[in-house]
Amino acid sequence: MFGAFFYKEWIKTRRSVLLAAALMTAAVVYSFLNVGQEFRVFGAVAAWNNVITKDTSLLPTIMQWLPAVVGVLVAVSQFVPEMTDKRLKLTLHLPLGENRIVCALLTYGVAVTGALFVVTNIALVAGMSVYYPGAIVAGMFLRSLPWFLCGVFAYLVTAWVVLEPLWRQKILNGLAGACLCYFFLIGAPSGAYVRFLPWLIVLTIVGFSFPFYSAARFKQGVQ
Amino acid sequence: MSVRRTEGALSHNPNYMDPVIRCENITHYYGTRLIYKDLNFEVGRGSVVGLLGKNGTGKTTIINILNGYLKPRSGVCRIFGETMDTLTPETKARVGLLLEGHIQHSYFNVRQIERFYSNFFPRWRREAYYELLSKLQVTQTQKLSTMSCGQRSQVALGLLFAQDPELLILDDFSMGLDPGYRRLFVEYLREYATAEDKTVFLTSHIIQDMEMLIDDCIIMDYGRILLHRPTGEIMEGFRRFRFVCSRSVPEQIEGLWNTSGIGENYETYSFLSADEVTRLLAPYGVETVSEEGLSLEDAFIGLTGKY
Repeated sequence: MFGAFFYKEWIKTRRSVLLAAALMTAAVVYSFLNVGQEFRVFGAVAAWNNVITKDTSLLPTIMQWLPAVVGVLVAVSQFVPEMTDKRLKLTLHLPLGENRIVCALLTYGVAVTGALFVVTNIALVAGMSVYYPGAIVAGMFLRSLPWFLCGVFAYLVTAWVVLEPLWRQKILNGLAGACLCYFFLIGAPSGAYVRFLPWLIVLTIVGFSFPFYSAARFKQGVQ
Repeated sequence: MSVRRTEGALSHNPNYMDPVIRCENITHYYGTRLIYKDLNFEVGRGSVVGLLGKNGTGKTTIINILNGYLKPRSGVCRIFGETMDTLTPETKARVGLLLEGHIQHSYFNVRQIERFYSNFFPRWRREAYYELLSKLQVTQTQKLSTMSCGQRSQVALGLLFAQDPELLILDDFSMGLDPGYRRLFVEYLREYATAEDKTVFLTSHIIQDMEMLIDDCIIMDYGRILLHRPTGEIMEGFRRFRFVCSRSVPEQIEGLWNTSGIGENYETYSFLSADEVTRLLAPYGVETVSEEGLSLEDAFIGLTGKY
């Protein structure tokens, strides 16, 4: 059954997923060009010095926001067509439990955004390892991990908002979601987030349950 | 004397001993606006039942309640004995649902949508879908979003046939269809329901062609069921009577429906005979009435009024 849902969701979202992949690829290339430029202009010593003594981020600011944008993009492309003309009724009418159906839809989105972020991180770690030692690259990874978790969380929050049938509640959900996303994006020195990471992971796991609430309200015909 | 029969009126029919759909005491409001109060009806196995009503009488609302997509203020609907908000996957597989406007997943093409749905239904009949689609001028790679409303209706119907459900629930299937496609839809559906002994529950506000399709009519008015009778009984028994009267004739006379006039020329509708109608109108100086047989659409207007 998951295979059938993945097929449907892929057909529906493939353009958006490819666009998200292109955006992530462009951001990765931009990050490498940025670092390469810094090495060429200021030299390796100055570049290393900036990172070690001034705690400069290896990644450009756009990398902080892009995962959240990707999460929103995937969720919008996946759930707006379901809510247009209330097509979700057709999906929920399939001969499976409603929670199982919602779970399959969300699993697809989390898997797609997760896969994009894993590939992006592999590329960033591999590419940055050319310029910096392992300890600095590991620091970069830990520093950017909340941003990528934010991407998954933004996906779940957007699904929660889009599936909600009432506009007033949508706005409230959106505001609450934006506030929660802020926890993932607080500016802090590298390493400061390490102790907070488990809580962000817990928040993301809890966030998986949010869209079920909206789907249940849709099912009840809340208007 | 009242001639209106509503719920329970068809209980003599053996099909209603084993109802596929049973709605009991459904009351629903949108805000403070009453949609229905204590609505009761049943749909017997193997019958084709049409819930007919003007726009805004709550036809789609009852479909939503029936499928568990709307919680009524009170009352319960059962499909195959299961309450509407807790339908099991097995029961959902036995119910084919057509949403108003032939809504489907329009990002699929003809082949993809068949492939998707075939994964969910054990009795999937691929050939039924492609047989129906072969009559359309569409390619297998054509996206549903690029199709006309009529073509989409055939795709939706083909998917229902392939699902091979025991019960089809069709919400305002005639909406947006030109006469050709509407007739095509009705003919295929009639053939399918008869040959396979399926139960069909449909709603419509377009009554043309319905007499070819439905066995029983449930005619809705705002907030209630006006009438629940076999279609044949309505077609045979319900008549329009025209008469000339110089005095004012009230709109509401027991036994007559929607009496109205322009100048001295009146018309009224009734299940009574011409003699009985003449007798009811005698106090207003009416001596003779002319009787006319009706199509189902005329009967619908006679029952629900023009406004």
